[in-house]
Amino acid sequence: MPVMKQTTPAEPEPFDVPAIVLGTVAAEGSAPTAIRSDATIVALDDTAPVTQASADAAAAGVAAVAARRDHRHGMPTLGGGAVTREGGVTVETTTTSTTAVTLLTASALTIAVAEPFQAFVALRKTGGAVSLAFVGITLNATLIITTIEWGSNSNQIQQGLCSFVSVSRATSYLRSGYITVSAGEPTLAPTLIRQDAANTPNVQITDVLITGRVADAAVTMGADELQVYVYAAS
Amino acid sequence: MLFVFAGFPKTGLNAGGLRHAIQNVERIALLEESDNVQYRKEGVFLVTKTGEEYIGPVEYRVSDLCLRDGITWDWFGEGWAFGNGVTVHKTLGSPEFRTVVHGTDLTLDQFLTWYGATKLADLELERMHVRHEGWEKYEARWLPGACPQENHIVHLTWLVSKHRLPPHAYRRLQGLIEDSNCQLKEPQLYSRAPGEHFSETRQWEGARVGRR
Repeated sequence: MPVMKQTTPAEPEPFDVPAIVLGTVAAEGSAPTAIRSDATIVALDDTAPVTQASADAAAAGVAAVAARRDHRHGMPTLGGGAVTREGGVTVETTTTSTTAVTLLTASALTIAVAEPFQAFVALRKTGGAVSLAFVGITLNATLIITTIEWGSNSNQIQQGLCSFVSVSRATSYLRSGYITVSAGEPTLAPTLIRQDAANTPNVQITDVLITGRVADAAVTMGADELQVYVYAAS
Repeated sequence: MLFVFAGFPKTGLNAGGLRHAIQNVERIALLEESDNVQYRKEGVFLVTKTGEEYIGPVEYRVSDLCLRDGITWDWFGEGWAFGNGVTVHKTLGSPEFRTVVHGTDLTLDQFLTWYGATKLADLELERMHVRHEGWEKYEARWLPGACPQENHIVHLTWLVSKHRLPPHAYRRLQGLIEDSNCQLKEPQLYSRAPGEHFSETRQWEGARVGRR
């Protein structure tokens, strides 16, 4: 009959300060000393996280301590580039130019020759001097309607609208657009202007440009909310 | 001389407010405000009621931030008018996307027309960027690889001065327009009336520019 041999566990070495290191691979360790159940291990430290910079590359990091649940990174002050991407901030366009300037552009459009379309833009001007304000339309690189008055020649704040309509383009019908301008003043009637400067380009429209100017640089003209609507061709 | 900067003025000023800062408050530069002088992409022109005359080529400086974003002098298309004075401009760019059957350029309707009844479980749909002529032309204005492939707004601020500017004046202009930490000197000299010297900053939801 086999005899069971009872072994007694080895006597533990004295307790010691824990020297557990956080890592990415489990390891058996080699120290002969034990730790108490209420001992403290170094899992955290007091080093503040870095301040991220724009275009920083992702990095796994090398510190052998864990991050606190409520830690916070510094954030860079955003300088604001030329491009505001989807969901960003925006402002109106404004000018003090006394000669025609490209104020507002809808680019990367695809309006086929057969498609009628309409463009709207909201306008305003400040006081500051007795001055007119003007608006015009350019399609692709062709000035369709030269800058025309949209408000009164007065030293007062005014707001208005400019709307441009073009039918389907067809040879011999290339000046079939018109522009409507209106200022929110009870004494000013809306104005309908014919397409006077040039034929509508008989090609795909890719850019709609709103031009503007003021008669006196002490006045600021604003334009915003450009919308281009393309109608289905039958 | 024409100076082009990136973005709208981070100080919140609009064109009139920036003009006030440049000419009245800080006296940084003398702006070109003649009724007849027009800066265009093609050159400087004298414009009158009876006609126009070419004066000479445009002397310009495009800011480093514009160049970083991929906007150079070539970004401005044929016939582009810079006018004179101060202008805060924006361009809206909207790539067109279409939902197509994976591996084809067919919409679901077109696919069903071509291939007949198909189990939807067998199809995988994807969003395809339609690189039409308008987009190709627009993208070509940017430095290679710099054109954002999503709805976006390009804000630019430019001004035309009568003379070239010394470096310290240029840096101050750059600060007023491109630096979000820039402080206005003597802010009490600006009107707080709505729209007079400041423009309201608002959130843009990124809706399409051209709608069908």
